[in-house]
Amino acid sequence: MAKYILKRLISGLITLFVVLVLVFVVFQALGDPSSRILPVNSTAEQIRAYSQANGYSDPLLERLGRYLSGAIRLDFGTSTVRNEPAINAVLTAIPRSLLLAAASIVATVAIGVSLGVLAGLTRNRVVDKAVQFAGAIAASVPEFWSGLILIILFAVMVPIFPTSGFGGFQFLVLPAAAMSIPPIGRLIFVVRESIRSIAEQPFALVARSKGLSRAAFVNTHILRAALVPIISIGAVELTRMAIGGVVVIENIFAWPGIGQLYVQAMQRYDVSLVSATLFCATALVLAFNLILDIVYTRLDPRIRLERQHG
Amino acid sequence: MKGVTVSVIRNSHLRRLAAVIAVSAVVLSVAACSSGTSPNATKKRDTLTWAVASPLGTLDLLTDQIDNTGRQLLLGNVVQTLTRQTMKNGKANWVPSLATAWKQVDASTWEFTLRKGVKFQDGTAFGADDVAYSIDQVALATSVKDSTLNVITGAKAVNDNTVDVTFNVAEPFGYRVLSTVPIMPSGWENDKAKTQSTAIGTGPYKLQSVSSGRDTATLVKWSGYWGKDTTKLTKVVMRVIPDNGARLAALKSGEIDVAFNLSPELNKAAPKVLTAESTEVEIIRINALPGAVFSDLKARQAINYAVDDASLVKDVRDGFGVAAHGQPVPAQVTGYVAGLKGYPFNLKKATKMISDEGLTGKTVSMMCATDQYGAVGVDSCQAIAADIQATGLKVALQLLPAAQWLQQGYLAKQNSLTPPDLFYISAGSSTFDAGPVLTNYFICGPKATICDPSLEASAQKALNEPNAAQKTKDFQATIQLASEKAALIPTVNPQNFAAVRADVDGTLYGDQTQLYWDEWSVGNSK
Repeated sequence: MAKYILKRLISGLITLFVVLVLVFVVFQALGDPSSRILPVNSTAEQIRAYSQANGYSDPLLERLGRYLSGAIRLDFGTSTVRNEPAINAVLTAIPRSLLLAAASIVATVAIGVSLGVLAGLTRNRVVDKAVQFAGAIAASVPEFWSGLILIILFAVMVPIFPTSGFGGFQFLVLPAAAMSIPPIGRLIFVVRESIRSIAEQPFALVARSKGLSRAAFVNTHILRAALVPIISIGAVELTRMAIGGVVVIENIFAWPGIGQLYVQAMQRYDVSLVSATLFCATALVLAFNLILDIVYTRLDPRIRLERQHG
Repeated sequence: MKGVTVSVIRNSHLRRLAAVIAVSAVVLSVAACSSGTSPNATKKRDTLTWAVASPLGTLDLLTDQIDNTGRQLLLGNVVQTLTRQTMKNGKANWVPSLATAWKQVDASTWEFTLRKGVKFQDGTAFGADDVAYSIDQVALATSVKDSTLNVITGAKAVNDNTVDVTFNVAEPFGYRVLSTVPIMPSGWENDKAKTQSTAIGTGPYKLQSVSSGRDTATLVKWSGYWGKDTTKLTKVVMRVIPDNGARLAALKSGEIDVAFNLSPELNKAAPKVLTAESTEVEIIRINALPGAVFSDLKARQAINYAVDDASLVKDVRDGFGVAAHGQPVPAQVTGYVAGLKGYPFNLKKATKMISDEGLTGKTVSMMCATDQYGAVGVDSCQAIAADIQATGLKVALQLLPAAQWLQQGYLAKQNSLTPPDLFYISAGSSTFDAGPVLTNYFICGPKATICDPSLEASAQKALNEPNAAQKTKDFQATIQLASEKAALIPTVNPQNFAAVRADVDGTLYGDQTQLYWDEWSVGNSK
């Protein structure tokens, strides 16, 4: 296990390195940052002086080395948008995004598993078809649309929650709900399919024929076997939320997390903030994946064996 | 039943998962509940909350490129100017603010007599040195100011209460220009980090706080204000809600009182809409430099005929605006030519002219900004591109973020780039005269993309004319000539608007960034 973790950590570091180099290359390809950072009516002389003072006119490799050595120390420079070290702005935003993602995951698992089990146990009956229909709609609803619909329903028509902003629990409900609707739809199908395949396994037939009650059968056999696909889709969703979902949802709900920060950084050409945001988002995704892979091996010994032999 | 219970207890994986979910839910709820307050809990009738789409940038009014949100928050509210614009029955007027009187000393110099007994919000006394310092900072070549302020050369303190301000052109409207120059304490720029994150002035409101994400800022009434206490609001809160729909929803739910930058069609759903005639005109700057597709007059006239300005007003802006009638300044601006019609929409004629010029099928570039003028700006740009394409030209449309749009489009010549054939922009005249338009678009230099000797001479004459009456005539003559030469495609004079709650009252100005919160009230706030 230790060897596996070490291997994954090394590959994670390589991925982070590649992301950093890619960000550097993309911004270099866009030209000298001075002309974008400085006021629009700056003279060529001012741009040159700024460029020299900030090292933008140094040789490419020297700049890359400086950039990477800064990144190792988590020093991405000062954010021009926030007027503070870029890493500080990102570290302030990350817990807020994690709070949103965690609330969304909790809702996704609770609702998605319940409905998936219900559909799986009532296969081809009205309830199953209704749940599948709802799941298909949920999975295909874009977040920006569901977000606005939730705002209209529960903040304007029935004003239970605030329309947007960051603060107490009431601010968390609508964005977390909007974020969890599509994954709930997807999870319903995964759980339903898992239950179907497990219910047809010989051990399941034996268990049922021995007179095990439905509740016990579900709790002891079905859900346990369905955990791996649940965690699998959870990992995919968490990654999607960390990279893309938060951008849309945080902008609709004015949630001051990493997604909104990323949009601001891109809009204002804040190289430091873009670098720090991408670096931290990538590190988070890698960490999630590693943790979930370890959880897999704990849940399903076959996965561990495959990896050890592989 | 017993067997079932044992089975469940033995299922440790499930128990762990259930426990994790339950604990997470409880922790999230408790943590979130303990850290926040209800959005309406602190709402009072003497508090106004306004929302915009983009967060605050730098707060340095003197030398940085301050954004619209920063201006709306600070200028006239925290930081004041020597003169102040007022609107009565749609007519603009300029009244004393930090200056009590002003007079023109010579063609390019204005003298301002300053108000006595005024203090800055940090307790220091306001005086001529502060005024001279602030104006000099704005006049610096490195200061990123509104183009209307490019005419200022500098200022000199004559005595403790008198300041002379000089201009680089004959300026009969110097008092108007000074209504947008912020006055801050002498030496304010010495601490750049401070200037970018806070502001101190002499206004009726004090900047109490700005959130770390720059998405919330609060102004509170300042007890040391020199003026008569007419402020109806004790607190003004700025919030950023990036999404248009969410901003409208916040307005309808009562969380906010004023929503700026909504798209015109969303305004219809707002409880109430305040409007003001804008001092800007949406134009297409044409690249008429030698060798360009539109260097020929007939080609420029053809694309002027091609643009359906009535449709832009009706279909794109939902009636929030009027057709520009061939001139880049609106009716309330000095230089407007009553009766000038420009090039009425005539697609057939435009198509024939393009064909006669041998330009059918020719590709022309057009550049617009994605985030400078909101969704309505993008829609207008695309509609204009479609109109021009209908003549038989092929329009290669490029939509860029504002920073690139400025650098690669507006300042293309300065940056040694080829300017786009067509460039979408709003031409501003916040000083209510045509001077900035003439300077930016008709004087050969780093910005203008038409370099016509007779047009430039006419513009120079107007800019250098000291007499106000004659200057007005010269402005009009230049605007008339520009129309004849089809130097630009003026399309729409838009209306500024703000969606508000039914019980909100306030004044909007021709410059959409100009807001005096002491003129606003919410419900029964007195």
